[in-house]
Amino acid sequence: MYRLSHKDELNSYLILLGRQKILINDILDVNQIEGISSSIIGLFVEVVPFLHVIALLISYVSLILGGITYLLDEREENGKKMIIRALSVIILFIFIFNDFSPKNNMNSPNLEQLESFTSFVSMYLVFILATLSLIFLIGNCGLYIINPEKNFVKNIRKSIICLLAVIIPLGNNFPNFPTWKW
Amino acid sequence: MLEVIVVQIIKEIISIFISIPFGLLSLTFGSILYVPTGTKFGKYAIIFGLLILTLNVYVV
Repeated sequence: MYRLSHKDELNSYLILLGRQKILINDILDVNQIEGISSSIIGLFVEVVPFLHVIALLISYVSLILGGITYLLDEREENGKKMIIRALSVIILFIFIFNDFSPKNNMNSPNLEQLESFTSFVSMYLVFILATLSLIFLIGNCGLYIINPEKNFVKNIRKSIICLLAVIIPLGNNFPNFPTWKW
Repeated sequence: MLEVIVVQIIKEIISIFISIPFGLLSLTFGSILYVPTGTKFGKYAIIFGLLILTLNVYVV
């Protein structure tokens, strides 16, 4: 039985590859493919990182607003859903899709400025919420010691939940706190 | 051999030009809609984006 040697196999494979290349060049219009690919890659490189930054900024603002509403409002339901939604998106972007973050696709200076502004604003907003939660926690603990009422226990629980919600975004950027570069 | 190469090329084209850009676009656009308002459309857009990206990793 005839068996191809390694050299013959390699030669036949190379011939096949050559035919394949010719076939692709014959079938596809190279200019058209380049046009399509550049437009789609342009969409990916320009639009997606921009939306990523906007989504993160909205999530951080939502987290802060939800946290403040949750702390100050009497009803526990208010603000809770906002915190959960914002945290879920922040965790998704920070931990799962970190490879696609705008920091890795910095092509335009405008995007770089926007990203710098976003991280600066968001981290300081998160810092404000953390401080507010801590003040609420200490204050309510003091009030509970003086006058043990159920209402203070509820407020202490709210403050602890807010502090826990803030730990993830703060811990991600700690100790490299972002600075605003224009 | 030819079929394998053609299938591989098609997979690469689908992955680079369709699933990654549109999956990420759907995910980010969905999160922009979902976080402030909590609409169902935003939620489904996030799920759709995640599904596309997961399928891109495990199937394509």
